[in-house]
Amino acid sequence: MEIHRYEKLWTAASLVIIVGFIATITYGTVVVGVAMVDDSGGTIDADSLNDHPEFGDPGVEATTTEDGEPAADAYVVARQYLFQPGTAEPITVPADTPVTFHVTSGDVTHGFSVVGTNVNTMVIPGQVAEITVEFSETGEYGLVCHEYCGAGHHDMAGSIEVVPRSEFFDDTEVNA
Amino acid sequence: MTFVDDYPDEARIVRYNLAVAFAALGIGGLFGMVQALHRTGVFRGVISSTDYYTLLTGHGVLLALVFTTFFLCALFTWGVTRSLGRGTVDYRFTQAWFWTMLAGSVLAAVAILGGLVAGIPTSADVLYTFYAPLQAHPLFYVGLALLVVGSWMAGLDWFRTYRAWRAENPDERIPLQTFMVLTTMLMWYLSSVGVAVEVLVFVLPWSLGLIPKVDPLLTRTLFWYFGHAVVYFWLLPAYFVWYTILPKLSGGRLFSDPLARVVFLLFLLLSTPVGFHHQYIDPGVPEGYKFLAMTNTMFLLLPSLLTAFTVVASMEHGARQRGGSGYLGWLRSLPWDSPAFVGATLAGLMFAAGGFSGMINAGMNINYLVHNTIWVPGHFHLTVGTAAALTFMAVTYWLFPQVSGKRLRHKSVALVQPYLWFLGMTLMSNAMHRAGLAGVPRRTAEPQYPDAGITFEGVVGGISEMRIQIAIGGTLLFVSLVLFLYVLVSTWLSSRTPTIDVSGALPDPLSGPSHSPAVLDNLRLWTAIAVLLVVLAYGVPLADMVMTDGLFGPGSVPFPE
Amino acid sequence: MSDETDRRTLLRVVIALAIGIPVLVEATTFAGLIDAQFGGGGGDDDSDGGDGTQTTREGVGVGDALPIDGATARLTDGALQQGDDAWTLALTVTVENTGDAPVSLGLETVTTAAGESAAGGATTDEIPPGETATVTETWRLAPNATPARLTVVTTTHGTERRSQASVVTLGKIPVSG
Repeated sequence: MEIHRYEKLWTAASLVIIVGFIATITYGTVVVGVAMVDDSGGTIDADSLNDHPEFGDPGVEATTTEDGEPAADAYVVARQYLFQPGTAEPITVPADTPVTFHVTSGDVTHGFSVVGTNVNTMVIPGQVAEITVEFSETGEYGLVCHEYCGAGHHDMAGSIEVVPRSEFFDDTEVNA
Repeated sequence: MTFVDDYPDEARIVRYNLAVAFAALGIGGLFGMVQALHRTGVFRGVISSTDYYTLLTGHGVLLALVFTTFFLCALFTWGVTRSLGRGTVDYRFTQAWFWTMLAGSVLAAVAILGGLVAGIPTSADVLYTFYAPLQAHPLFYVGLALLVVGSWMAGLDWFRTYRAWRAENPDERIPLQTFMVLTTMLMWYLSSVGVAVEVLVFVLPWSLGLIPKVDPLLTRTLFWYFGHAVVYFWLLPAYFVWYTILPKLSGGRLFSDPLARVVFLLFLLLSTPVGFHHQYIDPGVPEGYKFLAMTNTMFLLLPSLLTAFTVVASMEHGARQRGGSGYLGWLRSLPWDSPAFVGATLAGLMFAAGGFSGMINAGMNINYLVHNTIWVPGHFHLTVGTAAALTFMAVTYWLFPQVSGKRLRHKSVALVQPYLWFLGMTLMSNAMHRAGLAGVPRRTAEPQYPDAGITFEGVVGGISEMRIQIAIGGTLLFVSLVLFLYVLVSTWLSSRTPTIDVSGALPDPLSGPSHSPAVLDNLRLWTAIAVLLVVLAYGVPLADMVMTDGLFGPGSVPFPE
Repeated sequence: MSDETDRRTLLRVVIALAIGIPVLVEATTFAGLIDAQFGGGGGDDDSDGGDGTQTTREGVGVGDALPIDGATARLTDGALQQGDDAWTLALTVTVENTGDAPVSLGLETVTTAAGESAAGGATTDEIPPGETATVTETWRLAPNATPARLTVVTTTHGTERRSQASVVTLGKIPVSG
């Protein structure tokens, strides 16, 4: 098969770009350590969240990591058309601390997206989405549902409030 | 002799398919403009925000499923007939698939639009992805199933024609246009299995009350098994045009037939095993499968990059045939006063931009920044919305006279139309990309959130300016669409002319099929490899989902109940 | 003939607008992106892998003037010293009294981006009109802290003693050690 010289060059350049892209993404995964949302949250019964030990009373808990460092777990339930917590009251988390959001849905598929950050996950009934992040600045962030979930989808929003570390851990008992 | 005289039955079916395709485009496009004005807040007087989602479902289904499928069937029927030099084996079978597809489309449309009309008891406010546990009226699913089954029958029709030709031409290479049709349909059969299982085994019985719950993750995964490959069902007809017709429109010949075959085979192999890139931030799917989808997707860039080379090389050849010279000066010698050429070329140019934003979407961990923001519609309006849709409109200017025997009317309007589409789409898509980077969500009737006090901060430009740009772009697109329909309908309603001023002759490529290895035509081999790749990408994850909590769990009750 | 010329003119106008405006729009966007990446706020690159929130640091850096009333003050030195248990911020401000009455300037609280505060208190002596003085203070901060704001108190020692507190946003302070 005859391949024109320019076409060979172009194909080679294309493959270099493709491999380059794969390399940068791999770098982000392996070196920088950006983990993707996966199945580590396990499955759950969406119709009986109220009986669940954590999702039955969703909110933020202080905890520690394996090394004994302070951390936080935020349990959030997404429903039509609000986040619990998040909508009626902000989800309050500490700055400079690993915060793990555990998000699930009580009805249909929702989205959980913190505006202006890369905290972004799908929320699928029957699955628990886990995402661990660290906020380096205090302040208030908007929270939106970005997956169509019914007629009131555009009203589904809330906020995350990031407070100074000392303030959070003073007010909250550590739940190891 | 024109096509309509040589093959009157086939020409008729082509016209029917075009009619349905463009009727769907017109309605879907009208919805699009209403949506653009509504969500930007420019004008909300047409519908309520609740009905917005009905329109959005209609927009997606009519444009991404009905318009695209019917157009493909028109183009491929013409291409197979023309390249094999023979008509269908059984015209009644041809009619059967057309009416099946049409019946399905009408049912689905009624199911959707019933949501707007109080008297009709159906509704399907589920959007084109119909994620469970959102549930539509059963007619919606029946309609979609018939549309897909009809398309399977169409593929079978073309395979039968090919087999009949093969019996009389045992040693010849498959003509390029037919090769493209067959490989596209093989890819389609492999990929539509996913949505067929989703609908026929799970979601349709569930909507009829035969199954109490379905697993949202499993059904969603089956959809996306299909959901990426379907975009190639939309794009490969455009590639068909760019490879086999655009060179002639440019005044020249296709640069390389063998490379075109390689490209279509790459799509057959790689279109389906990439589906998890639509689920990068789904819980319940292990990261390893997402990573594999990422590498597969990056390699899927290759056939498109190769196409860019071949198409531009072919155009350059045509331009130089027309007297063009210089490094870039040859561009000016191209037929910029030919509506078909202009539309196909601007569509190809815009596809390059869409490809770049697609590369971002494919970048697994970058996806966190853009998933479900309005960046994503910004991307796909460049690809299906322009590369496919504008090419389809453009080639119709060239094709319709040949299948109807009528000269194109209002040529100056036809000439302005693609330029206007290009302008409108640039404005709209540019603003959508920027707004998406600021975090503005997609699929939302009112992305303003005044009660929650959320502000979106653009990296480049302000949010209100982006909104206005989307509204203007969307309106210009609709105007362009109206111009297209005006030209088409006027031509359709006019009388046959003794001659048409379009030549249907397609010259041979510069490098023909005899220069390519025969193994490229071994469709069984490539299909087998394609199946293997799909099993590797999906076998274990799907098995995992089924083994954890079973076929139907973990589920939740349907909505609306 | 003139029909043909009209047609070609129309075509040229259409092409100019339909290609020209998109090129303009995209070029403007591209320029804006380059500007946002490299131009905004001193061209620094604080990208923690963690949350991706990009901060544009417009604030007082070393060598910049402090935006306060009552005196002309400049941050003449600043350093953030790394340590295992704590990071130490040291700031030196040079004050010139451009007014009629003696002034003094004090460096008070530093607040970090994470919301922690550390108290200061060092102050200049009373500076006669036309004279210049410097003041240095150090603050003990948590490791990896980013100093965000500094409270400066300017006191005028005229017939009445008047104090004014200003909160100054800090820019990037060089990290050493």
